[in-house]
Amino acid sequence: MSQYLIEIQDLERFFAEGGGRLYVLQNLCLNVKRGECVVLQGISGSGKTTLLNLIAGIDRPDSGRILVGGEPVNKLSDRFLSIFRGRHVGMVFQHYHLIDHLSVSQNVAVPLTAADMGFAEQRQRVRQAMALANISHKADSTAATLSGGEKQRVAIARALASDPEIILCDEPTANLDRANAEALIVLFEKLHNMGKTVIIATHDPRFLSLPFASRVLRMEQGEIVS
Amino acid sequence: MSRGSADTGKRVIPLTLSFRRQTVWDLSTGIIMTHRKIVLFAIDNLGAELSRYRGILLLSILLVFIISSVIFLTASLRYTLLEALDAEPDFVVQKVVADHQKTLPATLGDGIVEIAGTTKITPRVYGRYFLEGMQRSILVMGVDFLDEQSHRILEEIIGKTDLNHFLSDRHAMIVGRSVAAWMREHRGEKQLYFVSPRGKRIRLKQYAVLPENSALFSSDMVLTRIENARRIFGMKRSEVSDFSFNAPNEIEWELIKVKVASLAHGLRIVDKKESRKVYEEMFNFSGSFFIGMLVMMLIPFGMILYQRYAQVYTSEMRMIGILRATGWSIGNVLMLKSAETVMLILVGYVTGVALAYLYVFTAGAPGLASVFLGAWNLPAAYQFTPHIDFFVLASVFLLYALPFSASVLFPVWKIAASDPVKAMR
Repeated sequence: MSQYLIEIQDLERFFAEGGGRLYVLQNLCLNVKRGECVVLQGISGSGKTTLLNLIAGIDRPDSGRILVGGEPVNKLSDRFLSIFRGRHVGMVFQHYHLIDHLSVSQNVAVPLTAADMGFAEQRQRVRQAMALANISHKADSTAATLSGGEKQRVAIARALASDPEIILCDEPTANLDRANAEALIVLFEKLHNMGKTVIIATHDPRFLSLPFASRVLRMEQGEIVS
Repeated sequence: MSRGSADTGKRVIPLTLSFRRQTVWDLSTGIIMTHRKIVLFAIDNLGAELSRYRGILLLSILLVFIISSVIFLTASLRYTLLEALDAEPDFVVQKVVADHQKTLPATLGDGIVEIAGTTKITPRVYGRYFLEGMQRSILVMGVDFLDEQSHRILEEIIGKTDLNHFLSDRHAMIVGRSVAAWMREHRGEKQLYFVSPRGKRIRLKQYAVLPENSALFSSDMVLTRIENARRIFGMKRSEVSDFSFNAPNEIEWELIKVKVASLAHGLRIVDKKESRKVYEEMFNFSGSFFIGMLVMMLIPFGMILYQRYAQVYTSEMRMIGILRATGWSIGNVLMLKSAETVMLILVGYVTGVALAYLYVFTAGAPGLASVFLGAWNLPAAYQFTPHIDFFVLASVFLLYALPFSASVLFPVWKIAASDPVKAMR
């Protein structure tokens, strides 16, 4: 059994452009231990988001391997990949990606709706996730009516609802003011202390000096350079 | 929710293994539970987005309403006509010269009586009469009140006591509802003046109005003594308009027709089966014409739906992308959209059918009725008898539900099967 929760080997992702290939990720290798908090730094277009999408199983690599808990995620069928996404990964998207016409609690319940659990357990998990993300007071508000900070909290609550081992965050503070950003960092620390494996893709300098971050990796042109 | 940090280092992610370890029972109960939650989610989603579905719902209701109205109307008319046809005599014998109906000698009845297998031979005197004031023609039927069957029918219409009074009045007539309405509105009196071919004026007074349930046939009808009808049409006592008779053994019908035809030259013998065929063709043509038009309407309806799901609403794509990214399988997404579609289809169908029922059987199908009753000389004051053809209604449901479902689910499947990242953009 490998000591790593996430093992990435020779990962490549490219897109066709003008008859050629535009590489977003090239020969990328990365191992992440269970309970680690890893910060991925890099400018826009450096491949951070693509890497998170590939780990989350919402995108597939063109070559290379991604093993999570020893399972080759990129080889899973759509059905098992969906189960993997729903149970084991919580993704916080840069633009939140909430369903605007649904309420906060309905948004948080989205990953649990497709999971095989009872109504009571679902309700309990939604309550706990909202409490952890400090958004319980807005449970019945429609997502469209929330501020940026509140939307970010809902997105985090949704990512936590299924109690995943891995939390992936894409530019979590990009649309937040200072107070909200600092509150979010406190929340990440809490998640780290809970034993979650957290990977944060950001270009926010505040994340460079996180006391609980095990590593800060810099990405450039689809590669980890330091 | 929380897991102690102390033991996390030793835990192994179960990943798909936990799924594979489940028993068939666990799997099936899990699937049922998931489906229930998805259906409830569909209800929440529809409720939150009702305004978006309003247009599609209204279009569906309108489509089902129009198709169902035509079906209710034709089924009701066909049922009423065919039911009435059952009470009609088996044969009618007419004389036709140059495609015009002429009178028959009353003595022809003696010849028909002689043919084995014929019963209830009845001479009839009737014809259409053009009323100048009305600028419409009405059907004047002479009734032989001594005939047992005619006597019984009249007794049902106006009651036993009144019948004696009616029979004692030589100038009485019983009129259809449209004739009665016209007299009330335009003449202000309950009588009509007829002029015979010899220029003699004949006045008939309204004694009663024929019942509403027979209005499909009797709306423009005037029933009076057979002598009055003869005077109106200038017919001699030795002449009749036609003969009707029955032949209980259907096997003998062809032979009887041949025998009747040999009694005189130029006889047209129409049996009940031919009449039934004519009625059916008449309503099948009108109904088919409408249904054909509406099937044509279904094509743009399907295209509108397809466009709505495939191109117009990017938020729909975004939502599917979000669902997929948060752990929904393609099957789960299709289940959600199927549940939503079924609810929309059912609401559209039930509302459309209910409105059509009220429109046809309560309101009398204003507008549409004239398309089917347009051959009438007078505006028909007809109340349609509720008669529902469930097989046809079920066919309409399929005709409506299948393209609806396909137009929604195919683009949804295409989006769900594509890259969630692309769908969320």
